[in-house]
Amino acid sequence: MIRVSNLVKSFGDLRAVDDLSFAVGPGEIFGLLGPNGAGKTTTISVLSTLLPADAGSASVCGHDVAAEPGAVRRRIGVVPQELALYEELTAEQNLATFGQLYGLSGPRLKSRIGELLELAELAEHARRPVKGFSGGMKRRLNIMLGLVHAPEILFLDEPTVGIDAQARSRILDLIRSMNARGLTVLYTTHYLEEAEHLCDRIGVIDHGRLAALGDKEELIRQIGEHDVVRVQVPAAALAPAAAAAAAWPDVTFADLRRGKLEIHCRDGAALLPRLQAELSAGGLGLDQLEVIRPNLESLYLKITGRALRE
Amino acid sequence: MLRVLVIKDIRRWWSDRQAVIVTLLLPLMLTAVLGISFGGFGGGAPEIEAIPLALVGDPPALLREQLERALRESGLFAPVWCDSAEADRLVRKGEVRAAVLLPGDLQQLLSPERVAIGVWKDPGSVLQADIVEQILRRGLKRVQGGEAVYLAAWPADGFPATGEPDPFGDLLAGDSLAAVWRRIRDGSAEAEAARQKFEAILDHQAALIDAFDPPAVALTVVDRTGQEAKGVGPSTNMFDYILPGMGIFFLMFAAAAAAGDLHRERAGGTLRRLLVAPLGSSDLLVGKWLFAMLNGLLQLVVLFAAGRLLFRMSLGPDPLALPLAAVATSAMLASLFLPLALLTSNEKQMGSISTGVTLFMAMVGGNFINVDQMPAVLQAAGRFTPNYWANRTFNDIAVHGRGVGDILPRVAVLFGIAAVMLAVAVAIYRRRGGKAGLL
Repeated sequence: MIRVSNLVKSFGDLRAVDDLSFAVGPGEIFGLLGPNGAGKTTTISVLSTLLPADAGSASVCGHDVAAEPGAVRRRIGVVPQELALYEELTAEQNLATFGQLYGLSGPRLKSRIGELLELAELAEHARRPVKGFSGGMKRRLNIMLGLVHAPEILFLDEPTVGIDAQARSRILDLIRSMNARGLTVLYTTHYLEEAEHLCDRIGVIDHGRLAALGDKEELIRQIGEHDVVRVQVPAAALAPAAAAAAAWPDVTFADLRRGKLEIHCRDGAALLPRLQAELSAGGLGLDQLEVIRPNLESLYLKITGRALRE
Repeated sequence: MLRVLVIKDIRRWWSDRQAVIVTLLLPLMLTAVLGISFGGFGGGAPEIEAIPLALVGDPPALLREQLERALRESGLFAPVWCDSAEADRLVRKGEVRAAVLLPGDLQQLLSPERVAIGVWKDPGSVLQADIVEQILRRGLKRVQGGEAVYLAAWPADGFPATGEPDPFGDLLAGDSLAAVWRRIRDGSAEAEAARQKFEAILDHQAALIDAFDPPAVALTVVDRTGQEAKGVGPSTNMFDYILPGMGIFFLMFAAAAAAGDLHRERAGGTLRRLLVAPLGSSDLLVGKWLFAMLNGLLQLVVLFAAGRLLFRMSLGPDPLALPLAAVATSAMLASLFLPLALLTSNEKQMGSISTGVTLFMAMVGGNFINVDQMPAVLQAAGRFTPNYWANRTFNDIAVHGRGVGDILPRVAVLFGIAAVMLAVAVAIYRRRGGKAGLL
């Protein structure tokens, strides 16, 4: 559905998108994960025909974004990062305006508006001016405006910025529900947990370049990260326990950190029984145990050398 | 597509109370203030400062005294008698607002011949000078009407003509017109009754003159810039050019606000959403232009309707002329600020520049002062402002009573400016990279 090849877009000396390539399949939720300024919005702007690319190519639903912008626009829906709503108008009028711009009219438009308002749980507020809506309601309507013409692909540019956890959860549910009806989604975010839980595949983007690409498990495998096991044992046992653990297969690191024994291994859960047995044999017990699974945070730190929310 | 864009903007405008107030009520409020200032509602005596007025002529002492007293007692005027050279100097220096040049023999006013009275107006005080002119016109009309009534009631071959008793015989007896007037003015209850009857007939007669007779007295009005002397039609009302001037002035602000909506749409994110919709390359600009034009048209309609009802503003003799001028003016002003909206980076910047441009154009283009009464240099400069052509067109209709055929050249100029400014806006839009340039 989306194919991006060696895309480049610069603003003056700044290369916002730098040789970016990826593809998104039908019905997929694809996440572009990266911090502010990574090039996510610029990528969406090029794909939605708002900005011309400097080099490379991109196509949406088989239509080149540069050569056939009209065909692309009719097939995509865009949900901008900001709340792009007419606050003076009602929810219904907002939807009707954009529906009509895409050629909908009459009963078809009315039915579509009703369907979307139901989906967004805004049917009761259809005739209220948007300026009286809560942040979460505005966010949901913001998404519905991108869907009013039933696009094949929806570009969502950080749609959950600045809202509370409950509202965010409702929006993610909404996106899953639309995806279940066959909608392909390109979702940009700098929230790791959103990307982890929502997206089928994730492209990690930094300084306009694609740093990693795959589903969550693939990404973790790509960086070769291990589980981290932290054990609190009596002080006298720390050094011998560390020496013993370092000799075990699959353990890549075993040493003292902040008064605890820290072990890096392929499978932390599998290590635990052996560790407990060794300690018991020496007449020692476990005071405290912590197993930390690798996640996208550690992946991102390893790839970019900086925290994601910087 | 354009229809959808325009309806969307109309809905937004209508739901924004502030915009509605600025567009419709503010011009009306200003009009009302003007009306109250100049007694336009007819609800009591106008409270304005006495207008310095020069009187030139040499009437008999009694008439001179009566005229001066009447003017002073009206509370409207502070008259001074002087010769024409002094009157010219006073008008040019702005020490009097107008000078009235009376005919050598005031009895001429009562003759059936056409009489010329000159009025020199101070171009720097156009409103007060126009008040002088208007009052003079009405006064002369009453004099003419009064003479007609007087002659009807008091035939030259003696009174009463039928030999029946005459209740006003004593009042009307005498050897001079002035003596009769004095008795009527200062007399008894019977005189008061006679006076009231006399005035009622006089008003009726004046109305008849208004309706049927050509004016027997021709006012020649000359501004003291020395550039142009022109006669003003007998039915000139100062609101005939104040109201269109004010309407165009406010319309310029409304047009700037409508064009600046591009910045508001950009800041609100809706512009990005519109740009990804399947619109034509210039639909967005043309949509904004159409909305601004309709908005301006509505503003002018409301203002002219109020002007007609409240101030008897002339809408011209040709029913098509004013609508045509209003459409052309709205089209022109709607396009005027679109290039500026595309060249500025935000609404604040746009607002500052457009306000400055509007005030400058209003001053030079004749929205505050009739262009005819401005110095020659400013008159020449005024021709380069778009609003000048709109002001001129409305003046042609409301002040000079011209029709569609007469105003067509100026209407063509207005539509021409609209087309050029719209083309410039589209060119800037394309030069800046179209949609990308708007983001």
